[in-house]
Order: sequence, then C-alpha cells, then structure tokens
Amino acid sequence: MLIRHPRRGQAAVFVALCLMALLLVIAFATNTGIVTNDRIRMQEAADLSTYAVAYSEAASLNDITEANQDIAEAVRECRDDLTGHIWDTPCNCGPTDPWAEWQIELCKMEIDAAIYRFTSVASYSRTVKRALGAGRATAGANFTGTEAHTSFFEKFPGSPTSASAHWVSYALSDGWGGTFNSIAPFEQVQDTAFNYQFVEHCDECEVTGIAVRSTVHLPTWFYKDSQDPDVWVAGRVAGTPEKRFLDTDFRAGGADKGYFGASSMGGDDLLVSYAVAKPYDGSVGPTALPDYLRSGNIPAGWLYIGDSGWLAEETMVDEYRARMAGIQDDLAGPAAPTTLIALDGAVLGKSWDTSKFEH
Amino acid sequence: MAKRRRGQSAVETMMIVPLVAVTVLALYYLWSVIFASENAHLRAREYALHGERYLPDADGVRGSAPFSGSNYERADSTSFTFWATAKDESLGVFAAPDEIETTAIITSE
Repeated sequence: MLIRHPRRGQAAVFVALCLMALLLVIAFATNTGIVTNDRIRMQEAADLSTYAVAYSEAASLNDITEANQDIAEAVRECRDDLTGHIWDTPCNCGPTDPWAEWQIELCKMEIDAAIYRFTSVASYSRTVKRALGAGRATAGANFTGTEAHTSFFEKFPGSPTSASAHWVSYALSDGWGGTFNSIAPFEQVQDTAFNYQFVEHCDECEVTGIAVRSTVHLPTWFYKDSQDPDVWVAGRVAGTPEKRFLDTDFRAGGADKGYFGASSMGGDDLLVSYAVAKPYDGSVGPTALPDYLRSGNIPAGWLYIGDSGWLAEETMVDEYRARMAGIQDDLAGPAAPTTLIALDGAVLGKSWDTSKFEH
Repeated sequence: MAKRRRGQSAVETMMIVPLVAVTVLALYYLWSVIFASENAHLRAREYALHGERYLPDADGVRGSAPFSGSNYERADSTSFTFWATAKDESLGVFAAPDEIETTAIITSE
C-alpha cells in the first residue's frame, strides 16, 4: 500500500504538464506568426508611404519644371519681339527706342508673372507638405492606425523634408523680390541679357544709322547648385499591431528591446519600419552649365535672339519619376538617411542598427 | 499488482499521441496561413510598385502601378492612387477560409 499509493494520478499530472507545454508552444508560435506577418505589413506600409511622398514630390518637380519652362518661354518670346525687326520710331536719336522700351516693360511684366508662378508652385506647402499628406494617407491605408506614428523626419532640421531645409531667394525685374521655403535649393539666374537694334535718324541726330541698344539684364529662370539627390525622403512608419503579442522583455517606459523588432513606448508596443525613396530622372533647370550658358546669353551677332537660350531651356526636363532607394544609397543633401535614423533612434531611446535596413 | 499495471504505458501514450498530433497539425495550419498571408502581402507590394515587371506569371494579382515596360512612369499628378490585390491559398481547415487576399495602396487621398 505504501508503494502503490503515490503512483495514483501520476499520468494525469504528466498529461497536464504536457498540455501546458503544448499550449505554450502553440501560443508562442501563434504570436511569432502574428508579429512576423505584422512586421512584413509594417515594412510594406513604410515602403509604399515613402514611395507615395517621393512620387508626389516628383509630380511637384515636374510642375516646377514646367513653371521654369514658362519663364524661359517668356524670355524667348520677349527676345523674338525685340529682335524680330529693327525698331524705327520717327525722329529718334537714341540711345534707346521708345517703342522698344515699352516692349521691354511688357516683357518684364510677363517674365515677373512667370517668376511669381514659379515661387507659388515651388513653395514648401505646395510640394513637400502636400507630399507628406500623401505619405500619411498611404501609411494608414496599408496599416490601420499608423498615421499618428508616421514620420518623414520633417521635424528634423537636417532632413530634406524639413520646412527649414531649403530657402530660395528670388528677384523681380524692378529689383524687388523675397525668399520662400521650398523643396530644393533653387538659385535664380540674375543676368539674362536683352537688347535690340533701332534706327537713329533725324535732323537733330549727331549720328544716324542702325544702333544696338546697350544690354539689359533681368532675373529669369531657376536652377540648382547641387544635383538631384538632395531631394529624397526617409520615412518611419510605426504602429501597434492589431493583435496583442508576447513581449519577452517588456518594461513600461520603452526601455526594453521589444519582440521581433517591436519597441515598447510607455506601455504601447510599436512595430517600426524605415524606408527611403527619391524623385529622379528630371531636371528643373540648367544646373551643370557654365554661367553664360546657364543665363542663356549666347549672342547671335550683336543680338540676344529668342533661340539663344535654347541650351538652358533644353536642360529643363519635366520627366521626374520616383523610385525606392537604399538607406545606404549615395544620397546627397543636408543629412544622410543613416544619420536621420540614428537621430531618430536617439529620440526613441534606442540604437538602431542601420545596416539592417540596407537593401 | 504486476497484472494491474500492464497496459498503463499504452493508455498514456494513446492519450498523448492525439494531443501531439493536434498540436503539430495546428502548427502546420498556422504556418500555412502565415506563409500565405506574407506571400500575398509581398506580392501585392511588389505589384503596386512594379506592376507585372517582376511578377509576370503571378496568378491572382491585379491592380495598377507607376511602372511600365522597364522603368517607373513619369509622375503626372500630385493626385494619384495605385493599388494591387494579391491572393494566396492556405490549408483549408474546418470552416476557416483557404484563400487570403491582401491589398497594397499608394495614394494621395
């Protein structure tokens, strides 16, 4: 009896322990599956939302390029109007022709209007800010609830998406002008040349014949000092998975390592994903040309004719498109993506291993 | 006493084997669902970005993408929507669905 009694229920205890172990295995596997799936969905949301920002920026850059082309077109028409014939106001002794000068005033108004349109189309609110809205909409459409935790580093002063990243100065023909924040560091050509031929003939004239008006220089179209890679976007999309999952090292306050890359933020567990994308393949203006070509100042004989700015105009290519980029891509600009993510990690209290995000 | 204990191991084994079998099947089913979901998500993402370029034979994938031929398309407008849906099949167990459909969206709205 003393030997048989302790064995009663032994199998039941064994089975109960096995059941608990099996349930734990199933729970662990279930949570692993859920988090892995959500991790993929979060990366998808980061990729697509960052791409949405880059696509919107590419569309804006095409609009900007078209606005720049409008300035160039105004210059072309103006030069054609001035140099299409020899101005011949009766009894004019120079040094200018009154009717031609009136034509120049009209040209200034048209060119200034085109410059105004450029400053509007290229403003931060019409370009980057609008693009960030598209990015947030895309993040929310792909992973519910991520809008509030989505960032494109617009609050980081060193980011290309920051409102303070790129300030552009512009001038008008009368010397007035201003500055505005924009998507890229555009510079303005200040010395596009205009002149015309006119006839000096009158009894009072000391000299008669055909003269060339001394050159007038006007501010016109825009270009960038650096190349296109300074326009890019890094995105961080984060959110709480729709289903709870095991957090193997949870500590309230966000100091833990989370689970499968998740981070605890004051009790809420967030999955975080990063991505980088950029507009490419277009050109707003004559960035890489020498000064005299950038200004479109190629004289044809004595005159600056409409076609003399063709090379500058040829560089205005409204073919921007967007592509995904790598974290380690050779991107120029105020800060590299790795720097932004390192800063982000410092803000979040985590040290991100950026090599994980290279692709 | 020896006679009464005969067959005890067999009974215990018979109790455990179904549990282990159910566990393994559950894990297998779970794996198939996760795999199908991940596969569908990845294919939807790929299609939304690159269209049929890298998924020429993908069944059950459809949508629109800013990509044609061998390159991304020109960005025409700041108002845009591209999307893709992808399906993949998992094991059908009991009343659970055996087809998982996911959607990837790139939108300005």
